[in-house]
Amino acid sequence: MAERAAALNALTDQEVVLLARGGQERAYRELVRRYERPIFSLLYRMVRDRELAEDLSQETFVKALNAIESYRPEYKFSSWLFKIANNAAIDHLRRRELDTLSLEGSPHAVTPDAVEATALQIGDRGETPLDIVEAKELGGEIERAIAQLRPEYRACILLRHVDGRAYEEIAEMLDLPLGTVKTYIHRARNELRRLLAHLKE
Amino acid sequence: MERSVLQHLTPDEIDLVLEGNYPEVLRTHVNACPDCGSLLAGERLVVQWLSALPLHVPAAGFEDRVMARVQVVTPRSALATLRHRALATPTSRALAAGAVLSVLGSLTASIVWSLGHREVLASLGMTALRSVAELGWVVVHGLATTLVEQPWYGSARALVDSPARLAFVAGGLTTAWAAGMLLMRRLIAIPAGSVAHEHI
Repeated sequence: MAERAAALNALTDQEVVLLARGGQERAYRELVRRYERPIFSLLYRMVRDRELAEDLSQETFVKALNAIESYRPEYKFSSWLFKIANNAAIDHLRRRELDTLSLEGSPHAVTPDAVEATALQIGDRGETPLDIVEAKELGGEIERAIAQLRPEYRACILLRHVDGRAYEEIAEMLDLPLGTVKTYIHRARNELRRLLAHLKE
Repeated sequence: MERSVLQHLTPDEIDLVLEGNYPEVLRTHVNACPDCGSLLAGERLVVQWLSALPLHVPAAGFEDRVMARVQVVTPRSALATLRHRALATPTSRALAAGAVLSVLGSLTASIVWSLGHREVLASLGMTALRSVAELGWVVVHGLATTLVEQPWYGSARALVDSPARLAFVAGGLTTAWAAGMLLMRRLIAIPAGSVAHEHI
């Protein structure tokens, strides 16, 4: 059993996908094991709700694995999976209009009035004393700062600097022009720099 | 176009530096420009913090919860996968088309040849039929000879040499066969009642 698991470990994503398509359940499980943490982390950071992130992660894997035959091997499996996850998160955030909007207004706003009209305050997350203690730690501060970014910026910056994806890959995953991805990442870094300025001292 | 050392860093140039490419012209500017130096240091710190963030872990049993909702593909759908793979890239499409064409080509060639050489085919068919018939006769003859030469053949034949004896033997054999069938059915019947430990 352990030998078979080790053998699967050595295979590339494309090879594991082929085994899954051949009807091997252990190949499906291997794909879940490989990506459950990165996908859950991305979604958790996108929606800031553990239970919801878990539901969305489950939806992502169920959707991807049930459609494994439609996956095109010329693309990276991880890109395909992250694309599904990101779409799930963005759809959810759009539906619920969570407290995930930037203080700076819509990135598409061109006039000062439009910027002001689309600028929203960060809502109250009902923080517990434990949340506040956690937020005092560096990791918590960074997570909180990420949570304040616009969802589009957040997805881009997480994929780029947490998951280490290339700009082109992010553009493909999010169905955005390359220039827009670069702009979002640049703006997200600027915003994070401002939000985390007090940590530099 | 040459880049001036006086020009501030553009977002693309900041990315370039963050990725580890630090051309001399940018280094010279950053060393001389406190604004760009501070900007770059801040960006580096943010990237460093982000890349050090740990991965979050879903609750235990996540894999099983996913698998409970996933339908594993069957070998039948694997056939569809094969077709999908054959059409995935221009090379695989060319190979698949080549294989199909060669099969169709050889089929067509054999049909055309057969139509043009009917008498040859008929003669080959007759020869094959004759050989099979001869072989069949040899086998039947051999079996009959072997049977007749057996030491028990005479007494077995004497057992069924009158209609009354033949009917008696046939009846005995039929009864034995029916009893055997009944016994077998009882042995392989599925029990109707509950089975011990069936809920374990």
